[in-house]
Amino acid sequence: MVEHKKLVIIPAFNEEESIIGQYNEVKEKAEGYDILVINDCSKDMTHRLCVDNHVKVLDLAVNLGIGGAMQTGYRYALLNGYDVAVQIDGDGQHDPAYINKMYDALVSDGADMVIGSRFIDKEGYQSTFLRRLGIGYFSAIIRLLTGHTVTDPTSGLRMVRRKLIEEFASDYPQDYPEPESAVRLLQHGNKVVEVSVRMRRRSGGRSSIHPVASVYYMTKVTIAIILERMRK
Amino acid sequence: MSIRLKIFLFVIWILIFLFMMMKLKSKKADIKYILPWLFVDLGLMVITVFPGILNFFCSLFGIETPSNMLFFFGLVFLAMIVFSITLVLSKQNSQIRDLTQRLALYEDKEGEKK
Repeated sequence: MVEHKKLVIIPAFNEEESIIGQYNEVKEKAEGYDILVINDCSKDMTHRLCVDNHVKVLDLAVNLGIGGAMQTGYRYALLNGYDVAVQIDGDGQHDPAYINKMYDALVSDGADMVIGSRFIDKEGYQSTFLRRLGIGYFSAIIRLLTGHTVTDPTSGLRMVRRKLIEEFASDYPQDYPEPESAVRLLQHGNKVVEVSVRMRRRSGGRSSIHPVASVYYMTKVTIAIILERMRK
Repeated sequence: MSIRLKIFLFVIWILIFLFMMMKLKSKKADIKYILPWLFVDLGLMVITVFPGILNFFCSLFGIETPSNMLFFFGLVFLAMIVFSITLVLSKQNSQIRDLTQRLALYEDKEGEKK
């Protein structure tokens, strides 16, 4: 089998406390992967730390948010001929040890996208009650609209093949992109597989989802998912 | 409408007109986006000089009073302008996103050459 060229994309916005730790952990646990940090115009030492530690980093001149930052990573992956790209949070929530497991699922199941789900075996940090409620809701409308089950549609731990790198590079949803992009892929007949992972409490930084924004989050994603369903 | 009020209003429309022209002259605003506002101002001038126009359209649409009609159509027109700005904003948002990404990728490529 031909060796795939593989890239780990770590989006970072003010992650000075955790970014280097996460980078080193990825380097140690995910052998054979290049690592790219997308610095989304952080106001802290994220950029400095990356440069000092010889971490490959792309700097965004203005803050684009998670969607725009991830898309930058996919554009980089496309330009540099990667076959597989995996995105993993910079805050230490995701254990890079699962990258290998996800790759196995990608290859053996012939999946186009593999999502790391914390709700298959319900192990590890299960998030707060309210978040679980929200995630359950997204999961339910995705099942209703596409007929597919995605247990953890908001998970930011995902791996995709070349085909989807191309798609994401040209068009990626913006704020709170995860559930929306999952629906889009399912609509287009891609195979989405979930593997069970344990997630950790974030080791630094703050969640991008503040309580006040959660109403906007729910509404925006609901509309986006319905729109995706209508586009086919 | 008293002639005093007419003159007062007309002077205001003229001042607004001059203000917009000034912004255009100094290139603080694009003609494209000022044009709807110029039409609003011009319309107000015409109505101020010939208020009878309002009565004509009132009976045409079956609206009771000219002021109600003015508020209604004024609101609709303003909403149209604001909405068009929303569209422009969305487009510029994606343009800025694209440029930011290109810049980051370009800087990376240039950095490698050195």
